Amino acid sequence: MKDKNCKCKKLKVVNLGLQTFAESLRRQGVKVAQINWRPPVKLDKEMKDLLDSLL
Amino acid sequence: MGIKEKIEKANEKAVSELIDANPVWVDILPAGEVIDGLEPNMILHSGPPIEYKDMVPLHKRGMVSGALFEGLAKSEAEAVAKLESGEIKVSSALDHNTVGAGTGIITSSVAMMVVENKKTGVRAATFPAEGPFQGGLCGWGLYTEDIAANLRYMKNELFPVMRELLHKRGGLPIKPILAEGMQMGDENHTRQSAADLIFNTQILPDLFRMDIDKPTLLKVMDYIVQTPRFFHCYGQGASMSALLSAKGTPYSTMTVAFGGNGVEFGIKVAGMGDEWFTAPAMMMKGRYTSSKFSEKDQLPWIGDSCVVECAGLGGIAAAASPIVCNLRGMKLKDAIALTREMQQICISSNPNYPIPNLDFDFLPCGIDIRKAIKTGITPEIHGGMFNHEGGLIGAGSARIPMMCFEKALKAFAAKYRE
Repeated sequence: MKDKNCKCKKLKVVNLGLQTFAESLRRQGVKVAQINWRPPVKLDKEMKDLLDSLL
Repeated sequence: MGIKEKIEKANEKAVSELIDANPVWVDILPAGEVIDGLEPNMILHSGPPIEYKDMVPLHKRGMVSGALFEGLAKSEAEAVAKLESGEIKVSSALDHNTVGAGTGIITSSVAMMVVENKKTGVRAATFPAEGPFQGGLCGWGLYTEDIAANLRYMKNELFPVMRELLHKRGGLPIKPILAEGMQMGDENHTRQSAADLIFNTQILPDLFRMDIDKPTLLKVMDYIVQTPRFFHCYGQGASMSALLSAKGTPYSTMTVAFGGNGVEFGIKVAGMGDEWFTAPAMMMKGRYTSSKFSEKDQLPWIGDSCVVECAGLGGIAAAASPIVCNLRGMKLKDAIALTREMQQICISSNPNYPIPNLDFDFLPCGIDIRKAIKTGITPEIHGGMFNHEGGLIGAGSARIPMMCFEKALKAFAAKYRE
């Protein structure tokens, strides 16, 4: 249910990463620009060394 | 030349085998005549190699079904005893020049569609859908008198006519059908509705020009037109004949096979020959055919039809088929985003497949194990969901486990790193 006191309609949001945050805001009538982004993968040392030597 | 440069050059060569492949449907032959290494007392299955005793019940049932169909045993008990003793051999379809869609049960007398990559002469054989029985013996591992009779009917009555038709027209090129179909909403794994229709317009006029009696003509026509997803086996054959052409490219980190057996999922890499890199088989996400089904009913991934993803179709081509993606609740933008995501782990793009929804950008092609690990992105593969008894209970998709890629890279480094 919408909160009448909420000023959200005046917001314009840029959401990075998890789309569920953007969808949640959209359902409340907020304009959201979604940017697909994910944090860099954390590799263990062995994989990092292998990639450094092969890629 | 350093190893990184050798890999780049090898991957360019390997991916060119996928892009420049010229798959043509050239023949219909018994599996024993076209599949390399398929012995008369051997039954093939989908996924990485697995012993009979370790198979999921669906595969065990398929093995027994195959033994009964092929006459390798007279009863289920005899079939089980021969499978357990090794008198009947089992082998992974993807270790031969074929594809084990679904359960992938292939015996030497099953009639196979033969697709030849005219660029390299490499042939791959795939089994066709079994008319009203759909998956039947080969795809679903079922055996009844009706299923066996239908397979013999296909082989003895339908296929001689289709074979004559095929030889008269000099084969049927597959790539143009795949390309046009993907501009009409197919991704050529879960959906080949457009390809089916294009195939029909190419084959049926030739069928009607043949000097055969009308009842025979109508039987062949009904089989082609009424079998759902008739073209699926040709997409797999085209993919496999291209992937086999790339297999064995030294220094290449491109994947050349994907498949699951319900216990493990495995991949092969061009520079690593026939070595498998496996992980526990993954579950699928998607839509069930009935609300009574849930994940607990689902068998982990079984089947090799995901060779189409390995060659750049199916889940990699999600943007071509928002219709398929919508079955899983995805919107057009999600389908486009998925193909864009797959681009991040691919070596190149395939100019044969410009996609309207991508503003005619080309589909990504050639999955690089290094890029999968670096980005944390693994290929999305489309497919059907089986339950533990072998019923088809839905359709959806899954991500190939990262463990497969990590194992492959370690082995690759051990083999090639200087």
